[in-house]
Amino acid sequence: MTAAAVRGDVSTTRSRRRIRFSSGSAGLALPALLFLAIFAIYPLVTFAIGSVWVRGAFTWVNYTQLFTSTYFGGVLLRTILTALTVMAVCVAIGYPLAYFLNRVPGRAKVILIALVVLPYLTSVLVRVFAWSALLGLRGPINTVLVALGIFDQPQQLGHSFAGALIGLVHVLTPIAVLTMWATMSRIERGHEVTAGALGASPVRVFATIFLPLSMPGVIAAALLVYVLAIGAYVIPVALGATNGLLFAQVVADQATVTLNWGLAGSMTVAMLIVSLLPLLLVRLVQAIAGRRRNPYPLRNRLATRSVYPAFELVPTPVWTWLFRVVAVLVLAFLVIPEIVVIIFSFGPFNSLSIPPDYWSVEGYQRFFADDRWTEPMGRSFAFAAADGVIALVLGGLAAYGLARSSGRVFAIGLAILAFPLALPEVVPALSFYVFANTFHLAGTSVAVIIGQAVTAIGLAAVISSTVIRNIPVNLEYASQMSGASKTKTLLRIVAPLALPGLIVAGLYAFLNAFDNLVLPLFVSGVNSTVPVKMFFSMQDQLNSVIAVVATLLIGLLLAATAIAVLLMSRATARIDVADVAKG
Amino acid sequence: MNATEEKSAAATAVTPTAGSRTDSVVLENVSKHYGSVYALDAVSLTVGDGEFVTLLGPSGSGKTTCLQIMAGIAKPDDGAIRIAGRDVRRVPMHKRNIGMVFQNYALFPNMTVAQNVLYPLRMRGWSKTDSLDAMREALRLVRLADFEGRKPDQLSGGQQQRVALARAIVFKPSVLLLDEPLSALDRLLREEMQLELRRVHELTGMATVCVTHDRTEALTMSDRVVLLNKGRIVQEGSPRDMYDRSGSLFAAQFLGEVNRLRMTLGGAPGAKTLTDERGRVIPDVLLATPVRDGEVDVAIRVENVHLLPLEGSALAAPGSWEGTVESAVFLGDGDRYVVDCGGTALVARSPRGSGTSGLGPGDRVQVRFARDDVMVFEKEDAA
Repeated sequence: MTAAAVRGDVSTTRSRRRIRFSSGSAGLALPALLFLAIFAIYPLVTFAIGSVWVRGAFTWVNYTQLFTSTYFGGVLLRTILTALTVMAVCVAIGYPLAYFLNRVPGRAKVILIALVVLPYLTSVLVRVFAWSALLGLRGPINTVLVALGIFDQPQQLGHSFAGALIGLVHVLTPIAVLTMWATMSRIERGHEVTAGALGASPVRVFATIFLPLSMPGVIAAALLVYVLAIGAYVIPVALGATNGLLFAQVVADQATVTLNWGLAGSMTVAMLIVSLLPLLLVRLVQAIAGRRRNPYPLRNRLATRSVYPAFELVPTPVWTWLFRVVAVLVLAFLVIPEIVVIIFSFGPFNSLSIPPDYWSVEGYQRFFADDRWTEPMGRSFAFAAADGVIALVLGGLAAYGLARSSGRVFAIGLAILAFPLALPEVVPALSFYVFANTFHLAGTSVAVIIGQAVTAIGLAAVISSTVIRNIPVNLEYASQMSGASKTKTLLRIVAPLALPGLIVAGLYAFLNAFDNLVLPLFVSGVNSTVPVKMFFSMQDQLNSVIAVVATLLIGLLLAATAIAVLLMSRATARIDVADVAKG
Repeated sequence: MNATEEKSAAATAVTPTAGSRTDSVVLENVSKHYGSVYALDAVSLTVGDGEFVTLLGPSGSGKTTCLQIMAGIAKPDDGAIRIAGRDVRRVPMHKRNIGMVFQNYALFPNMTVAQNVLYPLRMRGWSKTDSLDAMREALRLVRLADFEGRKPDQLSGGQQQRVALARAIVFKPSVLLLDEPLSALDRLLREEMQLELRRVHELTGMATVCVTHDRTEALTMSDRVVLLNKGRIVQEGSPRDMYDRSGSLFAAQFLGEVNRLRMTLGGAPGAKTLTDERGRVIPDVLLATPVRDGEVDVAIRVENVHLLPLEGSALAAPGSWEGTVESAVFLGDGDRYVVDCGGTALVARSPRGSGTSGLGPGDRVQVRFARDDVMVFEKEDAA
């Protein structure tokens, strides 16, 4: 007692120069927000302003040029139609898979989700490469089609509109599936059991209960896919036809080849508006419906009155099996390209076929002997490591500060941090490209690191925030009441509990930066990274060295994921996959 | 002992304000509002040294805010707060010297039981041998001496609760705060832990403030119950007083099950009589506090409604009411009846062996109230 009393007094005298976190913990998000403000928001805003502010005077010239040109209008229209098509296909084939994921029990569920998440996290380039090879003139698909007698001779599948569509659907379906699954996993099973107990057939339960409740997820998935498809750049360049250009390609051309930044700016603004239109439309419908006190207009009308009688014409087992078959086919569609890439890497250098003409490690030998590959590889690792650290420090601090603030501050803060992730991919890249050129940073390592960090921070913040929200705030109070200061509490209680999750956040921020293609494509100059080198090599020739690089990228992803799974299996504060997918 | 005296002497020297020098916690006119809603409206409260005080109230009554203000989790908008004589308005929670047991225990999941209990001592820089002794003693006190090496997830809910208690008292805090400490336990365990908390309190003599919405908890454990409603203290007193002489209809209803009747009070002083609209009377009522004549609220606890079977066509004795049993439910240690007294339904609870056990629906009974079991309150418009 005496000891305690005396020591209590001693610590009181030291209290003056304590850092104050207290209720203003949202302030911890400031560094990340500041970083984003400088390197994402400012470039974007100046880029947009540059489109109406030419040589010190306000002008609409860039917009009149854009809207009077039948060429640009035609490309924009084609882009919108393509995005809508991709959106419809992704949601249609993604829904059964998401439903399936939701229903499969236990361990099988974990494996199936992994099979969706892996393609989702696999570098877009790896998938583009797989499809280029699969769809090539002498590729496996053409071989099969010709052998089956469907075509007399191999078809130009690769560089075609169909190729771009297949690529886009393949890249965006996992996102659609995970978004819908996140919503479905939160639908209480009890609703359906109740409806069943009240006498509804399984098909009717699905149509009247499950489908309407999963609609928010479907809408979210559709909006996300649409936005990403509008801004897609890599896939149409690598898989599409030259006569079927999409808008992002034209914008990038204006910015990086023609160097007409004003026009590129106006096109970017147009693209942003077009990509946000459906979201505004949905909000508008919801607002109108809200005023009529019917928060779910589509749900009630569509599902309960017109859809289910049609559903019921088909017997339940047929539905069940239809869902399962579609789910398995979609899963195969997602996973097979990854396997194909690995097989290619062990084939002969100049001929990619399945099965390979003969097995060899020629590709691996050539890769490691060629410093035109090993140098970018080294750079990629260095840049991504720097980005991982930046993202973890800034994103982690922000996540802690926001997670310990009110619900509204948390939501707004996280939305701001994550917004570069939800923009069409060329938008942040192009605005940063213009920014880097203005400040004479273009072509430097620093520019690449900073540019890649913009998206990596958002990702790290989203993942860390679900980790920290799993640490009850009462643990911190308990620690403080035990006599630990706020700082000591962070170090001794919060940090150890959050560490595994934070490492995972850093790891995925690293991967995100490592796989970034569009930004270094515009900004890196001589400091090219692996994705850039791969992108240019693929346009040159498809060979097994590229397959080797792709295989190494898949290996890196698998290793990172294995570490993540291992860390999470022991962690107290877990990462909620559904949370992350939604974020 | 010396240390205690020195400390309180120092405290009085620093803050020469009202309240006895032995008071552990003093709140003076403390207010706290969220937006336009007052969570606490000028609440004053004193917890004496070694006293076990329970803050009881429905959700939204302000009881939790009150605790949070003592702990330093919430800051009061207005008013003074002293712990062990020291003004703590600007003292952060890690320097307030309070122990707290949280609703879900908040044990550190990455530490063993021993490490959890040692944590506050390490933070206070106790020597290793002192710490180990204190830790062992605290665990012995909560009867978990053999669990030192376990992790929290290897413990049952009741055991986790005991560890949380040990961690909160091991450093001999000025006051122990309990935030709905038993709400996560099942009923049997809850009853056991009520007695356990009371036992530990008697052994340590530590001033304790407990927050709960469970009246049984409040009545079983406390020296004093403070009943809150809508951010204000409604009544405070010993559990027995609060139960038998509730100061308001709200207090009467919150502390136990009552029959509520609208009646008219009249008669000469010292011989007050209650009359209902059918002319039935409860004569010679004993009023705890003066109540104006006229329409009043009457509350009678269900265990104070006494039933007597009426044989054949016998009439009820004068001063008693007559009724018919509407339903009877066996409760194990007694029976619960609903009796229809000509339009007024009365609930009665009889203990086992009180002679009512044969009663069933349709039986005629005579209903009697003891004069000091009838609680009379001025009429309230909203219940």
